[in-house]
Amino acid sequence: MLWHKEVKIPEKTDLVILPGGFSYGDYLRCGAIAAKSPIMSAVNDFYLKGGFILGICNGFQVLTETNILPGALITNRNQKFICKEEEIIVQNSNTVFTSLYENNQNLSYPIAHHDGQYFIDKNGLSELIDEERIAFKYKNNPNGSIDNIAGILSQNKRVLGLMPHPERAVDKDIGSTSGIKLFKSLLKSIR
Amino acid sequence: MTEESKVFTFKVEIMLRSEVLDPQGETINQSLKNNDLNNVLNVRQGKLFELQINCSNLEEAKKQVESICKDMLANPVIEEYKIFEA
Repeated sequence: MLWHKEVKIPEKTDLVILPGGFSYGDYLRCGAIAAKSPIMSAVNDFYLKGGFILGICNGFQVLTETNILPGALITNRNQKFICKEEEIIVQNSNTVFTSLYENNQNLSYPIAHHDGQYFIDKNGLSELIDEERIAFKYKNNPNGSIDNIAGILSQNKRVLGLMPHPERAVDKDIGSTSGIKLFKSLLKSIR
Repeated sequence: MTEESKVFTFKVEIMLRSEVLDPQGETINQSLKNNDLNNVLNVRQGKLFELQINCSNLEEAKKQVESICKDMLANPVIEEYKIFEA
Protein backbone atom coordinates (compact mmCIF):
# COMPACT_ATOMS: atom_id res chain seq x y z
CA MET A 1 0.00 0.00 0.00
CA LEU A 2 1.44 3.34 -1.03
CA TRP A 3 0.35 6.63 0.55
CA HIS A 4 -0.44 9.64 -1.66
CA LYS A 5 2.47 11.58 -0.15
CA GLU A 6 5.02 8.96 -1.19
CA VAL A 7 7.15 9.66 -4.24
CA LYS A 8 8.37 6.22 -5.34
CA ILE A 9 6.85 3.00 -6.55
CA PRO A 10 8.89 -0.02 -5.37
CA GLU A 11 11.13 -1.73 -7.97
CA LYS A 12 9.64 -4.84 -9.57
CA THR A 13 6.07 -3.66 -9.05
CA ASP A 14 3.89 -5.65 -11.47
CA LEU A 15 0.72 -3.63 -11.25
CA VAL A 16 -0.41 -0.35 -9.71
CA ILE A 17 -4.05 -0.19 -8.59
CA LEU A 18 -5.70 3.16 -7.92
CA PRO A 19 -8.75 2.30 -5.82
CA GLY A 20 -12.08 4.06 -5.48
CA GLY A 21 -13.13 6.53 -2.80
CA PHE A 22 -13.58 10.28 -2.70
CA SER A 23 -10.07 11.70 -2.67
CA TYR A 24 -9.98 15.25 -1.26
CA GLY A 25 -13.78 15.23 -1.09
CA ASP A 26 -13.94 15.46 -4.90
CA TYR A 27 -13.29 19.21 -4.45
CA LEU A 28 -12.69 21.20 -7.66
CA ARG A 29 -13.40 18.18 -9.88
CA CYS A 30 -13.44 14.48 -9.00
CA GLY A 31 -9.84 13.25 -8.91
CA ALA A 32 -8.37 16.68 -9.72
CA ILE A 33 -6.55 17.32 -6.43
CA ALA A 34 -5.38 13.72 -6.10
CA ALA A 35 -3.93 14.00 -9.62
CA LYS A 36 -1.52 16.61 -8.23
CA SER A 37 -0.45 14.52 -5.21
CA PRO A 38 3.23 13.48 -5.00
CA ILE A 39 2.70 9.78 -5.79
CA MET A 40 1.10 10.59 -9.16
CA SER A 41 4.41 11.68 -10.72
CA ALA A 42 5.72 8.22 -9.89
CA VAL A 43 2.56 6.62 -11.31
CA ASN A 44 3.02 8.64 -14.51
CA ASP A 45 6.65 7.50 -14.79
CA PHE A 46 5.51 3.92 -14.21
CA TYR A 47 2.98 4.36 -17.04
CA LEU A 48 5.61 5.85 -19.39
CA LYS A 49 7.84 2.84 -18.74
CA GLY A 50 4.99 0.54 -19.82
CA GLY A 51 3.76 -0.46 -16.36
CA PHE A 52 0.33 -2.01 -15.83
CA ILE A 53 -2.21 0.23 -14.07
CA LEU A 54 -5.78 -0.41 -12.99
CA GLY A 55 -7.91 2.57 -11.93
CA ILE A 56 -11.29 1.83 -10.36
CA CYS A 57 -13.96 4.49 -9.84
CA ASN A 58 -12.14 7.47 -8.23
CA GLY A 59 -8.94 5.83 -9.48
CA PHE A 60 -10.28 6.08 -13.05
CA GLN A 61 -11.15 9.75 -12.45
CA VAL A 62 -7.60 10.40 -11.19
CA LEU A 63 -6.14 8.71 -14.31
CA THR A 64 -8.15 10.99 -16.62
CA GLU A 65 -7.13 14.06 -14.60
CA THR A 66 -3.45 13.10 -15.02
CA ASN A 67 -4.01 12.55 -18.77
CA ILE A 68 -2.86 8.94 -18.50
CA LEU A 69 -6.32 8.14 -19.89
CA PRO A 70 -8.28 10.47 -22.21
CA GLY A 71 -11.66 12.12 -21.54
CA ALA A 72 -13.25 13.09 -18.25
CA LEU A 73 -15.85 11.88 -15.75
CA ILE A 74 -18.64 14.34 -15.02
CA THR A 75 -21.76 14.37 -12.84
CA ASN A 76 -24.26 11.59 -13.51
CA ARG A 77 -26.99 12.72 -15.88
CA ASN A 78 -29.67 12.29 -13.19
CA GLN A 79 -27.62 14.24 -10.61
CA LYS A 80 -27.83 11.35 -8.15
CA PHE A 81 -25.34 9.10 -6.44
CA ILE A 82 -26.04 5.66 -7.91
CA CYS A 83 -25.21 2.55 -5.91
CA LYS A 84 -26.36 -0.75 -7.41
CA GLU A 85 -25.35 -3.75 -9.49
CA GLU A 86 -25.18 -2.91 -13.14
CA GLU A 87 -24.91 -5.07 -16.27
CA ILE A 88 -21.59 -4.55 -18.00
CA ILE A 89 -20.69 -5.88 -21.45
CA VAL A 90 -17.14 -6.87 -22.35
CA GLN A 91 -15.97 -5.05 -25.50
CA ASN A 92 -12.38 -6.16 -25.78
CA SER A 93 -11.25 -9.47 -24.31
CA ASN A 94 -7.82 -9.20 -25.88
CA THR A 95 -6.15 -7.41 -22.96
CA VAL A 96 -4.29 -8.45 -19.83
CA PHE A 97 -7.31 -7.32 -17.80
CA THR A 98 -9.99 -9.18 -19.72
CA SER A 99 -8.37 -12.26 -21.30
CA LEU A 100 -10.51 -14.71 -19.30
CA TYR A 101 -13.72 -13.05 -20.50
CA GLU A 102 -15.24 -13.29 -23.95
CA ASN A 103 -16.28 -10.43 -26.19
CA ASN A 104 -19.91 -9.40 -25.62
CA GLN A 105 -20.03 -11.36 -22.38
CA ASN A 106 -22.46 -9.89 -19.83
CA LEU A 107 -21.07 -9.24 -16.35
CA SER A 108 -22.58 -7.86 -13.21
CA TYR A 109 -20.42 -5.29 -11.43
CA PRO A 110 -21.61 -2.90 -8.72
CA ILE A 111 -21.36 0.83 -9.36
CA ALA A 112 -21.19 3.46 -6.60
CA HIS A 113 -20.60 6.95 -7.93
CA HIS A 114 -21.94 10.47 -8.36
CA ASP A 115 -19.57 11.54 -11.14
CA GLY A 116 -19.50 8.56 -13.48
CA GLN A 117 -20.68 10.04 -16.76
CA TYR A 118 -17.82 9.48 -19.19
CA PHE A 119 -17.25 12.33 -21.62
CA ILE A 120 -14.87 12.63 -24.56
CA ASP A 121 -15.08 14.75 -27.73
CA LYS A 122 -16.04 13.23 -31.10
CA ASN A 123 -12.47 12.76 -32.34
CA GLY A 124 -11.42 11.20 -29.06
CA LEU A 125 -14.35 8.81 -29.22
CA SER A 126 -13.52 7.73 -32.78
CA GLU A 127 -9.95 7.08 -31.67
CA LEU A 128 -11.13 4.91 -28.78
CA ILE A 129 -13.37 2.94 -31.13
CA ASP A 130 -10.80 2.56 -33.93
CA GLU A 131 -8.06 1.47 -31.55
CA GLU A 132 -10.38 -0.97 -29.70
CA ARG A 133 -9.80 0.86 -26.44
CA ILE A 134 -13.30 0.57 -25.04
CA ALA A 135 -13.01 -2.28 -22.56
CA PHE A 136 -16.52 -2.30 -21.06
CA LYS A 137 -19.90 -0.75 -21.83
CA TYR A 138 -23.05 -0.50 -19.71
CA LYS A 139 -26.08 -2.37 -20.93
CA ASN A 140 -28.49 0.24 -19.51
CA ASN A 141 -26.24 3.30 -19.23
CA PRO A 142 -27.16 4.46 -15.69
CA ASN A 143 -25.14 7.71 -15.72
CA GLY A 144 -25.42 9.05 -19.29
CA SER A 145 -21.89 8.09 -20.41
CA ILE A 146 -21.10 8.78 -24.04
CA ASP A 147 -21.49 5.61 -26.15
CA ASN A 148 -22.43 3.73 -22.91
CA ILE A 149 -18.76 3.60 -21.95
CA ALA A 150 -17.97 2.03 -18.55
CA GLY A 151 -14.21 1.46 -18.94
CA ILE A 152 -11.41 2.39 -21.32
CA LEU A 153 -7.82 1.41 -22.08
CA SER A 154 -4.67 3.40 -22.76
CA GLN A 155 -3.18 3.27 -26.25
CA ASN A 156 -0.71 0.56 -25.17
CA LYS A 157 -3.62 -1.33 -23.50
CA ARG A 158 -1.63 -1.56 -20.28
CA VAL A 159 -3.84 0.86 -18.37
CA LEU A 160 -7.51 0.20 -17.64
CA GLY A 161 -9.83 2.71 -16.01
CA LEU A 162 -13.42 1.82 -15.17
CA MET A 163 -16.20 3.22 -13.01
CA PRO A 164 -17.77 -0.14 -11.96
CA HIS A 165 -16.17 -2.11 -9.14
CA PRO A 166 -14.87 -5.56 -10.16
CA GLU A 167 -13.28 -5.90 -6.69
CA ARG A 168 -16.76 -5.78 -5.16
CA ALA A 169 -17.93 -8.64 -7.38
CA VAL A 170 -15.74 -11.43 -6.02
CA ASP A 171 -17.83 -13.17 -3.35
CA LYS A 172 -21.18 -14.88 -3.87
CA ASP A 173 -22.26 -14.10 -0.30
CA ILE A 174 -22.37 -10.39 -1.10
CA GLY A 175 -23.52 -10.49 -4.71
CA SER A 176 -21.95 -11.14 -8.09
CA THR A 177 -18.68 -13.00 -8.62
CA SER A 178 -18.07 -11.83 -12.16
CA GLY A 179 -15.18 -9.58 -11.13
CA ILE A 180 -12.97 -12.53 -10.15
CA LYS A 181 -11.89 -13.21 -13.72
CA LEU A 182 -10.53 -9.70 -14.16
CA PHE A 183 -8.03 -10.33 -11.37
CA LYS A 184 -7.33 -13.88 -12.56
CA SER A 185 -6.66 -12.51 -16.04
CA LEU A 186 -4.12 -10.13 -14.55
CA LEU A 187 -2.43 -12.88 -12.52
CA LYS A 188 -2.22 -15.06 -15.61
CA SER A 189 -0.89 -12.38 -17.92
CA ILE A 190 1.45 -10.36 -15.75
CA ARG A 191 3.21 -12.95 -13.66
CA MET B 1 17.16 48.04 -8.61
CA THR B 2 14.52 45.40 -7.95
CA GLU B 3 10.86 45.94 -8.54
CA GLU B 4 8.70 45.97 -5.45
CA SER B 5 6.23 43.10 -5.30
CA LYS B 6 2.52 43.81 -5.14
CA VAL B 7 -0.63 41.82 -4.57
CA PHE B 8 -2.83 41.39 -7.63
CA THR B 9 -6.35 40.01 -7.43
CA PHE B 10 -7.97 38.02 -10.22
CA LYS B 11 -11.30 36.33 -10.72
CA VAL B 12 -11.49 33.17 -12.77
CA GLU B 13 -14.77 32.01 -14.26
CA ILE B 14 -15.05 28.37 -15.30
CA MET B 15 -17.91 27.04 -17.40
CA LEU B 16 -18.57 23.61 -18.88
CA ARG B 17 -18.02 23.61 -22.64
CA SER B 18 -21.27 24.07 -24.55
CA GLU B 19 -21.21 20.49 -25.84
CA VAL B 20 -20.96 19.07 -22.30
CA LEU B 21 -24.25 18.32 -20.56
CA ASP B 22 -24.78 20.39 -17.40
CA PRO B 23 -27.30 18.50 -15.27
CA GLN B 24 -27.22 21.12 -12.50
CA GLY B 25 -28.01 23.96 -14.91
CA GLU B 26 -30.81 21.89 -16.41
CA THR B 27 -32.30 21.16 -13.00
CA ILE B 28 -32.24 24.86 -12.08
CA ASN B 29 -33.79 25.74 -15.45
CA GLN B 30 -36.55 23.20 -14.87
CA SER B 31 -37.25 24.58 -11.42
CA LEU B 32 -37.54 28.14 -12.80
CA LYS B 33 -40.00 26.89 -15.40
CA ASN B 34 -41.98 25.11 -12.67
CA ASN B 35 -42.25 28.54 -11.03
CA ASP B 36 -43.80 30.00 -14.20
CA LEU B 37 -40.63 31.71 -15.42
CA ASN B 38 -41.18 30.41 -18.90
CA ASN B 39 -39.11 33.06 -20.64
CA VAL B 40 -35.89 31.62 -19.12
CA LEU B 41 -34.47 29.72 -22.07
CA ASN B 42 -31.38 28.13 -20.62
CA VAL B 43 -29.27 27.97 -17.46
CA ARG B 44 -25.64 26.88 -17.24
CA GLN B 45 -23.88 26.57 -13.89
CA GLY B 46 -20.20 27.42 -13.50
CA LYS B 47 -17.58 28.18 -10.87
CA LEU B 48 -15.95 31.41 -9.74
CA PHE B 49 -12.52 31.60 -8.10
CA GLU B 50 -10.75 34.59 -6.59
CA LEU B 51 -6.94 34.45 -6.54
CA GLN B 52 -4.51 36.80 -4.89
CA ILE B 53 -1.04 36.70 -6.38
CA ASN B 54 2.07 38.25 -4.92
CA CYS B 55 4.15 39.33 -7.89
CA SER B 56 6.41 42.10 -9.17
CA ASN B 57 4.16 43.13 -12.07
CA LEU B 58 0.74 42.57 -13.56
CA GLU B 59 1.94 40.78 -16.72
CA GLU B 60 3.82 38.13 -14.75
CA ALA B 61 0.89 37.68 -12.40
CA LYS B 62 -1.49 37.21 -15.35
CA LYS B 63 0.81 34.60 -16.89
CA GLN B 64 0.88 32.72 -13.63
CA VAL B 65 -2.92 32.73 -13.31
CA GLU B 66 -3.16 31.52 -16.91
CA SER B 67 -0.91 28.59 -16.15
CA ILE B 68 -2.78 27.79 -12.91
CA CYS B 69 -6.01 27.69 -14.93
CA LYS B 70 -4.56 25.34 -17.55
CA ASP B 71 -2.81 23.15 -15.04
CA MET B 72 -5.39 22.85 -12.31
CA LEU B 73 -8.49 25.03 -12.07
CA ALA B 74 -9.96 23.99 -15.43
CA ASN B 75 -10.00 20.67 -17.22
CA PRO B 76 -9.77 21.57 -20.93
CA VAL B 77 -11.54 18.35 -21.90
CA ILE B 78 -14.80 19.64 -20.42
CA GLU B 79 -14.29 23.25 -19.33
CA GLU B 80 -13.41 26.76 -20.53
CA TYR B 81 -12.02 29.54 -18.37
CA LYS B 82 -11.97 33.34 -18.42
CA ILE B 83 -9.65 35.48 -16.32
CA PHE B 84 -10.72 38.90 -15.01
CA GLU B 85 -8.56 41.43 -13.23
CA ALA B 86 -10.43 42.34 -10.09
